[in-house]
Amino acid sequence: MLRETVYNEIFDSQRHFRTILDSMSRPGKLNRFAPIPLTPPAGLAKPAAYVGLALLNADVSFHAELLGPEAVAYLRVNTHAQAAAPGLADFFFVRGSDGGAAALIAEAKLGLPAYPETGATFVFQVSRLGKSSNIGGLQLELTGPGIETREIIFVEGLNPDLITAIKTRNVEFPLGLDAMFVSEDESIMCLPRTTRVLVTNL
Amino acid sequence: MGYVAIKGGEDAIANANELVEFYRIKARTKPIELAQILGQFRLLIDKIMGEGSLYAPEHAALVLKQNEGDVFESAFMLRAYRATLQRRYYSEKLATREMFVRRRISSAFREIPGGQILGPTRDYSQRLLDARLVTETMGDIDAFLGEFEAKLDRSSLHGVPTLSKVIDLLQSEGLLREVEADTNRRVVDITREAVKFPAPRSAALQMLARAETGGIMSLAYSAQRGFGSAHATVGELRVGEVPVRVRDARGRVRLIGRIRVTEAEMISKIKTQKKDPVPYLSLGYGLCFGQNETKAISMGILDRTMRSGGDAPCQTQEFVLYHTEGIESYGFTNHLKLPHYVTFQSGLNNLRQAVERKEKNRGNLGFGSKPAPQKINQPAS
Amino acid sequence: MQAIHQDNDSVLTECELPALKRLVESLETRHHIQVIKNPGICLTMVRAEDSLEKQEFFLGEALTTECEVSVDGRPGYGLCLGEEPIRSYCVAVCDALLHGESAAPAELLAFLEEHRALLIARDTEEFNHILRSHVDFKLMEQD
Repeated sequence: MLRETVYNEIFDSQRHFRTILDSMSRPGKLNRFAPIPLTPPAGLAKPAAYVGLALLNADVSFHAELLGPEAVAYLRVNTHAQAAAPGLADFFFVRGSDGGAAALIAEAKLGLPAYPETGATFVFQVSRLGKSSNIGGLQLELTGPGIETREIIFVEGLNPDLITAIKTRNVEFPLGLDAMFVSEDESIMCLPRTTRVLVTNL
Repeated sequence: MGYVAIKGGEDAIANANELVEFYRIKARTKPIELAQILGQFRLLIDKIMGEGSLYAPEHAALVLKQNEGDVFESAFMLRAYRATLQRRYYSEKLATREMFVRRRISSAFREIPGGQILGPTRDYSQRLLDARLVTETMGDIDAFLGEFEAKLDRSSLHGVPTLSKVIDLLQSEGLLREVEADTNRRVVDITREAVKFPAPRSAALQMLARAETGGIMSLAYSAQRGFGSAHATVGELRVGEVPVRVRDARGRVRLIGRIRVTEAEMISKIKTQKKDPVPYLSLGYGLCFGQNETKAISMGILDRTMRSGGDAPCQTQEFVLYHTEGIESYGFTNHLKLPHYVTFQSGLNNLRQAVERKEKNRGNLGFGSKPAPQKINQPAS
Repeated sequence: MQAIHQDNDSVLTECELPALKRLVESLETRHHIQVIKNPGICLTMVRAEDSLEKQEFFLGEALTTECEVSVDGRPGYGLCLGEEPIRSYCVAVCDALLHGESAAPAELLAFLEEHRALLIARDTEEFNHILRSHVDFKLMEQD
């Protein structure tokens, strides 16, 4: 069924919110979500649904069209958030492997100098996240606030064009886009707009 | 110079919290039940809901009990509470013409369609203390209610009417005009978007609707005393219940209950134009939660003065809106009680240095060194 | 004349709660009811407009309780002002039964008519009390 009945809007969302907050404050840190047996439609990964249910509410909008109409309906019904056009959406839900998401990144709002917090947040569904090189995919080297020296993280299932697209838009701090990556094993890793990212294995 | 915070004092703070609780109940009187506050402090509840910007009578009663009747603190708490809740619905626009009217008067017209209904008001009372209430018993209450009920002639009951508005009379004659044709009509929500000046009228009305009653009354009064011109007449004042409707998840419009509101339509002249020298009338609009006529009337006056141009306090949007915001003005005034040790010490240092410099300069200019301290209260020899 | 309480939601949100609860307890024995979303409190932003220029503005928020149920597979939404978990659940159940494919149960329809009449009587009486303060001020010059 479309409507989630197992999710506790107060306690589950708070628990997941703390996980997301910790990931955002420590860019590159891997956190695992406490599992909840949600049943999102095929296009929407379960940890992306966790993010959606924890962060979306009637006051924000999202764009999830690339994941299919069921994903859009699921997020709308369960969070009361409104689906919006790319230029207006507060949150985006996309597949990390989908190069088409670059167009959304190019169009997403960056916030205004007086209200930089209105910049959009992207949730990328990837296959694996990890600290060791036996995970394939991109090797990212991260520096910036929240990282003591440097952080290395491997992301499998992420199109490098999307990293490039985000970097092109995050040039005018405090304006910019924040990014979250969720993997099949229900882990999350975040790259807020303050993080400098280098792809070191291409 | 930045603010330097303090730390520590946890035990003293915890004990202070305990003490305030002690003083709340130390008289060992019967605990006040919320039903009693709801039933007998109707106007206070209404005021707190209006200033707290949250229509929730039971919760207003609870914070009143908790805060020993402090209106500012109670409104503050309701505001804080509303910030913890998700806003899931936006109502359809309230239709005050649908109001179940409890009170409805006009000081502009003697005869109005549907008539003037004084309703529950103390306006015409003599403000005498009612000593009978000192010994009021349940028996007294039952006796009054019994007599009151008996006064109704049930053989000829009128149905509940829909009352047309007094301004309809003026409008049908073409005497009412908009204040300005080119006003910014954008609908902003000041709880979601920081207010910027000049603010659209929607923002001003929203801020006035949750403003502190005494604050807007004093500015509205200043307008009537001559600091900025406002010769307003109560076109219509109505108090009563209006239905609230929202769209449910399936998109159907649903009635979810009724809220009590006060509406004031304040009539005053608008500036005559060169092109059109007719001194048309216009409307200042006041609407607030609960029965709070002082607030609705003041809001109606200020809505009008802020659009009239001029430099008087009541004509300056920023002055009116910022200073009548009860939670902010209450918060700021009370934050002065918090330790400002470093701020103050640094000011003091500057002052001491300035005094020293002055003394030194005086020396340099050859006016002599420090004068010898004068002897005071020396008995004459 | 105002047609008051004609809306079923008006009856359900204002009728005596114990009576409504008894009705729904009885309906529970004949229908399969599943709670989709437990009653929870939220806010409704109340929109208003000034009466001359029709300028829309936000008046303030009203505490609201919402509940979602499924009755024999049909969705029902219960919404009411205040913190009213039981009432919002009852309204949701009635909503599902009133707007389903099949005809609403006679018991529910009878309840609505009975309580509609009670509320109309209550409000009519209150209004007639209020009407006793109807006034016709005379000017001093008049007799």
